[in-house]
Amino acid sequence: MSYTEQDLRKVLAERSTGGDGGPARLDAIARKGRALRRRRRWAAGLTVVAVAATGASLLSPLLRDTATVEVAAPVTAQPPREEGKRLAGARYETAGELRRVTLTPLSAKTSFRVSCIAGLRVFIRQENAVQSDLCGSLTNGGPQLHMMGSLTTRPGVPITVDVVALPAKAVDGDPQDGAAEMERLLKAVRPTPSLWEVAVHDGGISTRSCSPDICDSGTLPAGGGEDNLAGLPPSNGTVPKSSSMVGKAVKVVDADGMASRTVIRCPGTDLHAYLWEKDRLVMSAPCGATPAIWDDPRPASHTLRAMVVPKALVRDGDAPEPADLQQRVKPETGPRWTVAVQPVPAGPVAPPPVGD
Amino acid sequence: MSDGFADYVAQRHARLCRTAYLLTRDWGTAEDLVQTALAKAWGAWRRIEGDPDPYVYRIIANTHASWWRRRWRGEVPTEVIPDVVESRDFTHEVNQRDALWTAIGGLSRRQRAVVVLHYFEEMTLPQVAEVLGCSLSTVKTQAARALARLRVNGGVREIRETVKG
Repeated sequence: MSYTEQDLRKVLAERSTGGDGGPARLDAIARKGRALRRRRRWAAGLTVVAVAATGASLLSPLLRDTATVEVAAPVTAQPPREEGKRLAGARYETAGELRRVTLTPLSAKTSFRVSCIAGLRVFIRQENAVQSDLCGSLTNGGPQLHMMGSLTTRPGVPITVDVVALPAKAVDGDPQDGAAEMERLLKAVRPTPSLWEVAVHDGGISTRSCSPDICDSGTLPAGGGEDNLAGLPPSNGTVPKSSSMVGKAVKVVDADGMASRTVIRCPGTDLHAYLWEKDRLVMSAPCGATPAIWDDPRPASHTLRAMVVPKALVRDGDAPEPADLQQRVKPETGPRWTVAVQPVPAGPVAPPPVGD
Repeated sequence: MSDGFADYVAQRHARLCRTAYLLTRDWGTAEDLVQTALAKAWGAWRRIEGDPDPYVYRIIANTHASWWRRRWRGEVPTEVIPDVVESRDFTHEVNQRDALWTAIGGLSRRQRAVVVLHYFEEMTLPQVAEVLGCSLSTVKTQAARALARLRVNGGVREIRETVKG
């Protein structure tokens, strides 16, 4: 006697008919959805205090055709209740290599957050204990996942934590298998370009200070007042414009007359990003794990146009105008990419530090 | 209520609960899991393009996995100590499907998710990979390990030996 796949199907079908799951309670689902949303907002430490309605009315004529970057409501920098001082933080541009983070805890409660730009499987090893979780958006347009957890600490006793991030699709095994599995995968997977960061804080942890070149959503100073690890200006005033079209321009407007930083995130290594101010090419950069960034120090409003095209169409020394390029490229559906214009406060913008 | 969300819940709730039950093996937990997953989907409903099923199934699988990691899974307190003495002879009473069901319960959460999505939801392995957010090879590996584990599970083996004897 041996079991067949049909036996398996029968068992699953029979066992799952033991109850009907009860009636669907839409009100309860919506109530829970609202509670989850509130909790998420609280976790991000964001409190909306006012809405800049005038901005929208001023922008509307410009945004009529290709609605673009929205200027979000101003938010207060209210810190999360439990997130304490940052004890360690580092950014990395490679997945598949072991990273080591050393810190001296301030208390018995120490928390970490790993944020990634695209689907990674992260392992955190403290002595013999290994934690593992998914990190980053696993699919185009999917939710941003952070790996968050706590470390075993005693005040004043330094600890060293090993961190490994691997492409999620390369992980072939149950991540609960622990240290042995982590070591095996580390040897089996070749290092690849990526972008991820680790932040360790005293007390609790939140996602609010995730660097804006990794997270879609806005960032604010961490609980201890620390800036995001990329050193980028907070993006809480910006909602990125996303597109799934390759070869079709997206118009973005820097509307508030401040200096700005334009960030194009296009994860495909076979793609190339262009950015124009009117018809003048201001940025031409390959897509990949790291975002393409253009800083404009001029405190003025500009209309920008971004386009992502197949890398095969890019010619050396080429500085095409949008109309010319549009004629050469047939728009088609591709991976999701985003463009965001971040207002930059007065003062120089620090270059993004990288831990590698 | 978001466009089409109520219709989706009305049509799919019972089925989602069955799937969740196969993952959790407890109807109360399954209902809680489905309600949580739908609440999460509700918040993102307007952003979901096309068939929402893969998105909802992914939330269910991920939420189940996170509960597995984070929730206390110890014994249930009771005022009455259960009587552990069993006079019946299970050798003859346990039927093969019970043993198979028990063996499914011994699978890891990821293996169980692969089995449930493939054999109950009749998803293809690439669809399972998409839902679980992993590679096709990973799903194939998990499915092969799950099937192998079901064949060598103690309860199943006991039945085989009983039948042979």
